[in-house]
Amino acid sequence: MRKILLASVALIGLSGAAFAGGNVAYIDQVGGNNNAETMQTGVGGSAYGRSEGNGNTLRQTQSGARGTVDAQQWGNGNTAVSTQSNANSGKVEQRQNGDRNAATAKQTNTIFDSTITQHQSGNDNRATAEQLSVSASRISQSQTGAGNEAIAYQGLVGLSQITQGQNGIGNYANSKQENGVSLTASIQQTGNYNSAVTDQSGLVNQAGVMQYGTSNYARITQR
Amino acid sequence: MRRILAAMAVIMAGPAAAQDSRVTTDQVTQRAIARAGGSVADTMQSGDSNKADTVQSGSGNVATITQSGSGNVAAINQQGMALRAEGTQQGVGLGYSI
Repeated sequence: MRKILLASVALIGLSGAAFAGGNVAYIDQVGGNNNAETMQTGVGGSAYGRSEGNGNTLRQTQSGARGTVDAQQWGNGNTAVSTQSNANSGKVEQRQNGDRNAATAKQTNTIFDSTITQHQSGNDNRATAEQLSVSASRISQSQTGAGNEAIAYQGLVGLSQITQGQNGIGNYANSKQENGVSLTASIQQTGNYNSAVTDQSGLVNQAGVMQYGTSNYARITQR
Repeated sequence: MRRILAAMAVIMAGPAAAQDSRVTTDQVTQRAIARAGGSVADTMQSGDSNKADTVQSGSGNVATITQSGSGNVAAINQQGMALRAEGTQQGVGLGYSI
């Protein structure tokens, strides 16, 4: 604990719980092994989180329409968890630079026109995105480096897309869309020893995989 | 004049619809898929020693795998009715099964 305090400075602004519409929360962390959390309920809320250092955790939770969650982390071993519920037109954007980071984003319940965007640069990172009960929504994941994983899931979904892009070596992209209509999933990988796996169930769906490099693997399953 | 404008409107509507597509499927194929109520799977690999699998079950499906390079392997497995599979390989030491 003493080490944590000496090694880090945490600036937390407007954190904790805010229960009204149009609220804005900022978290700014400098140092290592910090934990910060925001909770918002209402329409049009915005939550911004930044951290510089290693081993930091950002947790952002929103409930309400037209919300925006933005998390950016620089360093290694960091974690960002962003959750939106009852979130029509909700937007989640996560960006991490470094190694061994984890970004998790989830949107649930009657979502229309919602978006999850995740960017990771470095090695051995993991990005996970999940949308449940959605329509006209999108998941976009991009990773640069080696040994990265991008996992995307959409369930009970229509007219929605998953787009995954990876550049590097030994990366893995997995997308799954269940019980949907008019869905598209596309994976583009550049480099060697990459794997792309797409699984769709429903009607009138489209899946595309493009790979440039050697010793890559692609699998598309449609049911 | 009205006929010309109407014809131009029809022609211009084609590319606009095509731009909405976010995968590599061409417009003709998409229309075919839409009519059939099925799905489409496209895989393109450029390089050596790659492997591609496509598994489809249902009706009205289309699967395409295109590979360029050496030592690549592709497989398409379809179960259902009115299905179509296309495979294209360029290079040496290739393997393909449909």
